[in-house]
Amino acid sequence: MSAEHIEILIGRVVLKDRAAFLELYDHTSAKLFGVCLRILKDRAEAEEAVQEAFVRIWKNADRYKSGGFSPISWMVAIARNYSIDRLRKRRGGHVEIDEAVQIPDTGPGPEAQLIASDTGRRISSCLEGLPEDRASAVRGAYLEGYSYAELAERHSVPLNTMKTWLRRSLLALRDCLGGGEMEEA
Amino acid sequence: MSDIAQHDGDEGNWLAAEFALGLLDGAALSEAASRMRSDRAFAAQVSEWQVQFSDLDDEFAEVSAPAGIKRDLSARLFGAQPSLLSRLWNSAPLWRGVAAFGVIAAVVVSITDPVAPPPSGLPNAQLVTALYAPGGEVSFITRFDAERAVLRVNRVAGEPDAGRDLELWFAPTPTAAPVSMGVVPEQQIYEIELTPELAAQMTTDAHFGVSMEPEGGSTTGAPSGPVLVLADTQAI
Repeated sequence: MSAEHIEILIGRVVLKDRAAFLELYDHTSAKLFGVCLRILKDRAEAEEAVQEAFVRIWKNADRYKSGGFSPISWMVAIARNYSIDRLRKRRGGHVEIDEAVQIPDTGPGPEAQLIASDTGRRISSCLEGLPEDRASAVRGAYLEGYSYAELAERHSVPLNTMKTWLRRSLLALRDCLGGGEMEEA
Repeated sequence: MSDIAQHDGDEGNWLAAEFALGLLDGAALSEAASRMRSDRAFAAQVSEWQVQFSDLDDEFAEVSAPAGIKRDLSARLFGAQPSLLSRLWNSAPLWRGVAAFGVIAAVVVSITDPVAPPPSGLPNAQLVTALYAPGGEVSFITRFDAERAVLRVNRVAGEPDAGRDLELWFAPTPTAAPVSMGVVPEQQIYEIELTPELAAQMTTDAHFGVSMEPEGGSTTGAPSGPVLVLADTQAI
């Protein structure tokens, strides 16, 4: 299904069009379930999480505006944010994050659009420029929802070392993507 | 986190990247979440990072979700009961097709069977429709008063959701499209004056339904929300 078709469905969901919502579900639930499952690594929890993600999509569809996110990535972000929140909750010491904060808004500002047009570089290619273990840590954070502590354990390095790794990796990614703000660091 | 975040001017962007990746927890997380609400530039940076990272979304493999999730989701968002009724009510082939009559009749029987007899407050009832949803959360009884050409409606049970209205629908035959009998008012018992044309259509072929609609009623001329109850009319 094309991004445009998904965007139209989301636009109809804003109008509380149930048929559109169910069609959107049919076309995107496998992707979102895959996201929840990969992060939560528990089928029952992922089933609850994907349902919650779609409830949020139904309720907050008006926050999607074309520009930054592709429509499917906007939905993935909702499923991912909720799953990570749930993951941290499972471990205790959880801070309740309100739903509004978890639903990504309009996408990048003018600055990011400028960056994109300047360099045309993407994170996937920029990651290839990082040392393999650093790139793997960044991927682990994004795709698996690993915390600093989990990343440190998986890579057998002290927690502070992992924080430094991530920080330097993100600075390098920022430079690669063409952003100027973090270059001085 | 603070040991590295307070380093210099890109603290915000660094924090935004951490927040976007979901690395924060504890106090740092609540601080960032609160900043998301108050600091637009920060929120934009988080969004920007998330958009950049979404480049990796292709790496999330698709996994078919169990069928029950869609059913649960529909029930949670749109109410548990109305899906079948709603489909029947909205289904043009069922309303228009002669062959469909039996299907509708069969469904209606199963819905109307558990209904108690009309309350004694409705004496001399001739044409009565008992609209009853399983569970009894929504229950309407209508009675046609031929002498006065009015339809009396008794809302035994059923409240609209906040900011919405219930709407009564009438179809003179199982094959006709439903027409609105208006938004259900607040009082339990009310009357609808019928035009001679409508009064003539009050027969045992008539069907009534109640749907949940936006405040003020459906704007489409047909039920747009879930149909909560649907039943045929009986001579008693």
